[in-house]
Amino acid sequence: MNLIGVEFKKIISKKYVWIIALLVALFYAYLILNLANNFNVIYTKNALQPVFDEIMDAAYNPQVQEYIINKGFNVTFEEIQPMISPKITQTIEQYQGKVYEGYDVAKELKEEAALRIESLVERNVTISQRIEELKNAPDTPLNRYLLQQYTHMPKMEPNLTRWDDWIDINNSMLPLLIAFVIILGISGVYTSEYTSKMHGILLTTKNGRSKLFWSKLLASCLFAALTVIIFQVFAALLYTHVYGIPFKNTPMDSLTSFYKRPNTMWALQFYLCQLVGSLLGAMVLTAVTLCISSFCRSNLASFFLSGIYFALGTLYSQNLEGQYISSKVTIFADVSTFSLMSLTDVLGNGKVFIVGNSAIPTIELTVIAQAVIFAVALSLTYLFYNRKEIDA
Amino acid sequence: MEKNSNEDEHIEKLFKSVDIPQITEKQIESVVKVAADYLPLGRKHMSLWDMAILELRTTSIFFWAACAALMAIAVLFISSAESSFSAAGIFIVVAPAPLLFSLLEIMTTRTPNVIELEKVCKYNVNQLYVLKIMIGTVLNIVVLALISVFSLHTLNSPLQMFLMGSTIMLTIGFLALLIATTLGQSLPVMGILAGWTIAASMLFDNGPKLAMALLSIRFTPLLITLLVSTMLFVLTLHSFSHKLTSLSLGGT
Amino acid sequence: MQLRTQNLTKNFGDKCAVDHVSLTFERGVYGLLGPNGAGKTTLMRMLVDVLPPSSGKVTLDGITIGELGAKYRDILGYMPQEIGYYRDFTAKRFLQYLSALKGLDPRYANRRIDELLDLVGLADVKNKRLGQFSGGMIRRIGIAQALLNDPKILILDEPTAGLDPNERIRFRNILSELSEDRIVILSTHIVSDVQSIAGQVILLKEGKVINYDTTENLRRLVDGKVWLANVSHRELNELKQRFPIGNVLQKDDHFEIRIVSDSKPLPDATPADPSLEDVFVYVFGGEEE
Repeated sequence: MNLIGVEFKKIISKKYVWIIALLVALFYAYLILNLANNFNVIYTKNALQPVFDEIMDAAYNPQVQEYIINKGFNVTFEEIQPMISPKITQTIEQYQGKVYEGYDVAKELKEEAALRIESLVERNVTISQRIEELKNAPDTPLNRYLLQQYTHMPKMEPNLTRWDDWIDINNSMLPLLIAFVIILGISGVYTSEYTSKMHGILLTTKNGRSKLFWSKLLASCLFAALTVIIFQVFAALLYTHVYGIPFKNTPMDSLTSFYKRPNTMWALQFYLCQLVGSLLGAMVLTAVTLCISSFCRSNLASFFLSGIYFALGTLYSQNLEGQYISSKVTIFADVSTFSLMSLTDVLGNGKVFIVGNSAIPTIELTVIAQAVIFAVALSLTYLFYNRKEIDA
Repeated sequence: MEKNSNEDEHIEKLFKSVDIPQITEKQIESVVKVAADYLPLGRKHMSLWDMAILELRTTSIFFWAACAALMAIAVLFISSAESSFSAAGIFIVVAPAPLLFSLLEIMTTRTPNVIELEKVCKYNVNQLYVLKIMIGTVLNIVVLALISVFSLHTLNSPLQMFLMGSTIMLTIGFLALLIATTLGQSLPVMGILAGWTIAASMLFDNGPKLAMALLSIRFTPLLITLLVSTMLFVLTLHSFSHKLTSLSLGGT
Repeated sequence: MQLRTQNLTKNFGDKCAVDHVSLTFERGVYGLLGPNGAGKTTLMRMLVDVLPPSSGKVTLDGITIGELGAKYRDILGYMPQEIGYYRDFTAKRFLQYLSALKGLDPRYANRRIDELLDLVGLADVKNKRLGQFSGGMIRRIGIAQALLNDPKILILDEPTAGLDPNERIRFRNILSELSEDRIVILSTHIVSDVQSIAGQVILLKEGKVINYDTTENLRRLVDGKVWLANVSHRELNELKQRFPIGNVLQKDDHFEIRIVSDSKPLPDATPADPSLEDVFVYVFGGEEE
């Protein structure tokens, strides 16, 4: 009999895990699908995507740039229309006379096109100024790091992709959902043995210690990995339905959420990192939940303590969003399991931790801390389980 | 008369001929004590109210601490909320917690075999468990009322919020009782509580339009929903107490 | 094969559950007897290495059982006081699962499971879920799982509790057969079980070994000290204050009692053959078992 198989079956046979997970997932789906009919979702970006290159050319056209700068970054579509590709106007005019949710679609798209060009010009100007400032600023580890990042950023593009939304998948809700299902499924792995009085028998069998420990660990990790895959695929399908697949890759600095952040990555690369982070974070959470389960006497206590572990990191981390410097106060949130599963804050914002004369990317500390937590949690689980004293 | 005096004399003679032992008070006491062992113990009449008081007194300290902490945190967060929308969100998230705490308390502080002892007691065990849940329900309503009162200046329409909170409490309570009745385990009940917390947070974080629609439900539809959820709750409460008392007991 | 405990001690806070116990077990059946709280279960849990001792050690042929680890557990069979089980597993699947944990070859395991289910009288219900089993059936599953790996050391904590008389006799016979070439240590509340199975009896009180000998020698402890007498209710109460009382049997208007006393307790008391129960009463002074 395959021990891992039996342990895995024990975990997945808890119907309530799937019922509750399904209920919450359906609610999540309902909320996301609710956005599908918004004007912004249907028209704003999608309608302009066919003229992406023309909008980008316009923003990098010196004549257009000069005009926008001279007008103080406040121009209308009609003002810049003679200087930009006629294809943009033709594309927008396809929607002439169309009204959606009370919006004049063509008028809204003209405003949007002008805004995208204007915004790209403004961003490039701001970043150039920032680079100049940093070159003349005192030589500190932070300034060196920022200069290095800003000068190595890929060329900025108009924000016409749906990457802002796709990256938002893993911002907070999906990691929470995944963590919830993992904790619900795994918190009873050891406590169930204690409550069903099985551990006395298990501990006295030849393979009931280390082999069973590894079987339980592998089965739990398999469950966690499956949960991550199911939920990520589920979310990806939902987002594909609502927003569509992002039609092209784009640098992170082109996205509204990450503009001016010291991040040199591309959106697809970051999204893939989020997927890996989600998987690694799920493994760490599994190890911590197993560890808590190995010393708790009841499933409920195990679920509660594991939930507290994850929730504390989440709440703390959510209150710090938007900064790019880690401090001694914020570091506990930055290295939390939630931060690894989301990565939006630590990696997306290009967070950095200054130690002495060097700037360490916070993500490195997050990965190291989580690896340590994983190892310590597993060692303690082994110790607690094997040294579990049975009630007299 | 003659006959009587002869009889008296005869009895007197008999008494004199038999040696009647002198019995001390201590000896009498010890005999009474032995006899008392064979007499049934006196029973004190207990009303439903007495039972409720007894239940309240025997409720775990953790339950009271959890309710107090929840109330304090909710009031603190609602008072410092950035908008009445966020305040309403926090109120909705915590609404069913005390009732679910009480259900968890019932399910975790007893071992399954306790029912064997409870079944041989004088009172109907079904009533006992209904009473326990009802105490949790009343307490939840009190907590919601107190939070509404303490957060008068932050919550837009406290009465409406109170009714909304009560409806949510009964609906989630219905779901939790349904799961507890079907599975008989405490972890899924905790799962319902955690699931609700996440779902409500998602609603106020990701679906503000929907949340606004929920908050603007009018008084009459709200009352009807409250009534329906109350009926569902009462029905599941009945089957929950019945399930607890019809557990098959092991043994030979 | 020699299993030894050397100054084995276990403290739970201020309470010393097992106090410097040194014992040697070789082939045969050993019965652990003692009142509640004597430390029997704690001693057994230390013997199966699920409870670390506060001091002292348990060795098998000179090597501590902790060092032996899986090698020790490979030859160990253990039946705890309260049998744990998975309600959704069938009897056969439960034993298959434990066979895998015991590292048994699946083909051998399946054969062995069938044999054992037959042995404990559960062959007919092998595909029934354990959740539907009665308390006695669960204990029989507990016995079967302990025997799965044909253990050289078998430790059983109250194995006969909850079994009907027929099952108890069957179980006693199984143990007698098994004891030929292995160490069997059992604790039970049923003194007659120990008397009929165990070659050696260990009397434990407050964590200490009071006596450790063969059942015959232990019985000799109370040779000439066991008396039978017919008494009234009042006399019975008086005698309870003065002597350890064994079995009390109510007859029509009096009680027939067994008294353990160095001298003749009543003029009309008659001497009786000593039993292990009388030894228990004599040593533990009529304490609750």
